[in-house]
Amino acid sequence: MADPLLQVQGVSKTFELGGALWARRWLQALDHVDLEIQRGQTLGIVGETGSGKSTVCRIVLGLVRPSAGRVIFDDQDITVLPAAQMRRVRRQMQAVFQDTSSAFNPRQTVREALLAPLEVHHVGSGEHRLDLVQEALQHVGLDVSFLDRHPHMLSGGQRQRVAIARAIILRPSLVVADEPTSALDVSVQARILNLFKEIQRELRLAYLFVSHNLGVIRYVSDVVAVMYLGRVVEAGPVERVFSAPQHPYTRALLEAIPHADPAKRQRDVPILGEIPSAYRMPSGCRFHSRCPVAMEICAREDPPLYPLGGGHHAACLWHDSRFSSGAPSWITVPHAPGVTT
Amino acid sequence: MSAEARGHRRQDRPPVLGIAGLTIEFATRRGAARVVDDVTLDVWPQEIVGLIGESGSGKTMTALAVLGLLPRTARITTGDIRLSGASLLGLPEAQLRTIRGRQIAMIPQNPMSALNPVLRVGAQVGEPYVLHRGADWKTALTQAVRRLADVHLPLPDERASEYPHQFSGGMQQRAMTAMAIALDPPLLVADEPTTALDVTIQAQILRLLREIRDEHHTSMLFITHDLAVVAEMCDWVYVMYAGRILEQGSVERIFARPGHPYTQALLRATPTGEAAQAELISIPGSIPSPVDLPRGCRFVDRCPYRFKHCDEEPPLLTVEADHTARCWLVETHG
Repeated sequence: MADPLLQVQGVSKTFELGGALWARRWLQALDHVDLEIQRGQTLGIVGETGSGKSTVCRIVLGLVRPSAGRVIFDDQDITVLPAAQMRRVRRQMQAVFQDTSSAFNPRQTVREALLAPLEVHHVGSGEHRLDLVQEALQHVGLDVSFLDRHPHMLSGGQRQRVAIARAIILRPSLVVADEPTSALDVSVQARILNLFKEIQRELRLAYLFVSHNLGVIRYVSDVVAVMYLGRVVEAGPVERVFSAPQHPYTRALLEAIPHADPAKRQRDVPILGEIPSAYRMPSGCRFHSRCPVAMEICAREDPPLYPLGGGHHAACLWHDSRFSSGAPSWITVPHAPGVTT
Repeated sequence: MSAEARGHRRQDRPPVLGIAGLTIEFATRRGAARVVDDVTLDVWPQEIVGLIGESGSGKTMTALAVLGLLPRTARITTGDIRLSGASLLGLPEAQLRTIRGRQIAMIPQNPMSALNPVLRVGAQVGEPYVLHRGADWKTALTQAVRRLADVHLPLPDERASEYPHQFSGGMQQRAMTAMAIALDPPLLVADEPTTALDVTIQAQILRLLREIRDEHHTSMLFITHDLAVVAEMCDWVYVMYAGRILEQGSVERIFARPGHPYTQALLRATPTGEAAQAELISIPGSIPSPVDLPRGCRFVDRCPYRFKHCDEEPPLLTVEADHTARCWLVETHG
């Protein structure tokens, strides 16, 4: 039944920040990240600025090489592919980004922008290409009158539609969407999110969908991964993670969402402090410095991702059977110690 | 809170901010673009008043008018803006500069572009004391550190001598807030102050702004596109669309019974993160151009309930106490 299209396996990424030879500074952006996307499904990634969400996207797209680990796409490790082969893989893998105003060449018309990927990948020719362009436009709900327009003549929402059309015109199996609706108004965002879902149903696309907006992630995702300081701290089916979060960070994130209901105002700030700098990585559990339920041991021991059943994992020591007696009430039954996936 | 707050109307004091019939136009090649149209809005003492709208609603132009910072090409054609009863319109720039800082301060969306990158944070927060109070720099810096402590910046002494780029987004917004409250102005204008922040930091900054209202007795005009942030923060809400106020009322009333189809549509289009949200219902069409506004109701082209009366624009009709909406259907709902 499981049919993974993409597997990120133990991927780490360290960026060199310069400095003298004896005092070189490094930044660990990702640390042993495991992720998996099934064909036709959506993996949502949430986390604060600096959690490593965008680095994951760039590594999956092959724009950045991981320092360690493998990225298996369609049964091949794309981190070691030669350029020529990678080009073929890229056709299967497209991207949509947040900033639509810089996503297009301002001199190109919509037609030229949509033809470009077909030309680059030598798909079809002449008439056939134009048919594909029109079909892609149709998929995103724009009519042919848009073909001759330039990007500046479009609204943000329309530009994002064209960006989606460009992403799907090669019929990829994966679209990486990094904050694709964050710059849009609420009413436009709703339309674009619905469009993403519609296209997924029609074309059986998989999405790697990154957003800092938890409402958006819940709406589009099948599976969600919560990242903190370069690690996945919780992952699982979206309904399980949102209805019974098993990591204190996920709980805090969910509690921090403001409700469109004045009766549900927050009494307390759910989480204090800010995400620590990745130059000064906290010891033990990376979240312990901000954790409302941290134990003493959390400053020393780095928790693995504990499997909680049903594909749900959380990296919190409260899930270790050693600590089951004092665990907060929202922690579900602890599992055997030290079991990792 | 809100009902009592509005009770201030019965007192003899004028509102902290009173905008009456404000209309702002830009001259364009295609004719006058009316971006703010007959907007009336009050902020009473210690209220946090939300002005909510999407891009192109005119909310930012309204805020800039309050600050006397409209672009040169904009023209206020009618209306008045009063600060504690005194009109701001027509004041010379020198006087406006004195008012900004002492009586009104702004918390912007993007603190990084509002802070001076080559000046230490302490100097920027302390500057109002030198400019407006004639303090010497030593005193000003002491005051700055106190203000940075007020906004719960960790290690304010050390942080005061750092530069903005050494601050995280949340810390920059705290520094901007410290600068805004430096001279204890009675009115703060916050323009999307948490839009650029992570949700956890947003919760902290919203909490801080509420605390400032409570402890410094500041009133706030809070501009945002986010309904949930309004519900979290505000006492009173104005919903703006295509230059017009379409609905206003106490935050409890508006969220319990949104009266305007636009407000209802916005609520249905917002992903909440809560369960049982089967489908987001988007709003068809787009906001009308300010040079080509519909004759009747501004929302008519996108409204699912439009009927023949909508060619004529309704006034703000009473939905219930402390709640009005600019829709003909309000009447039939009683």
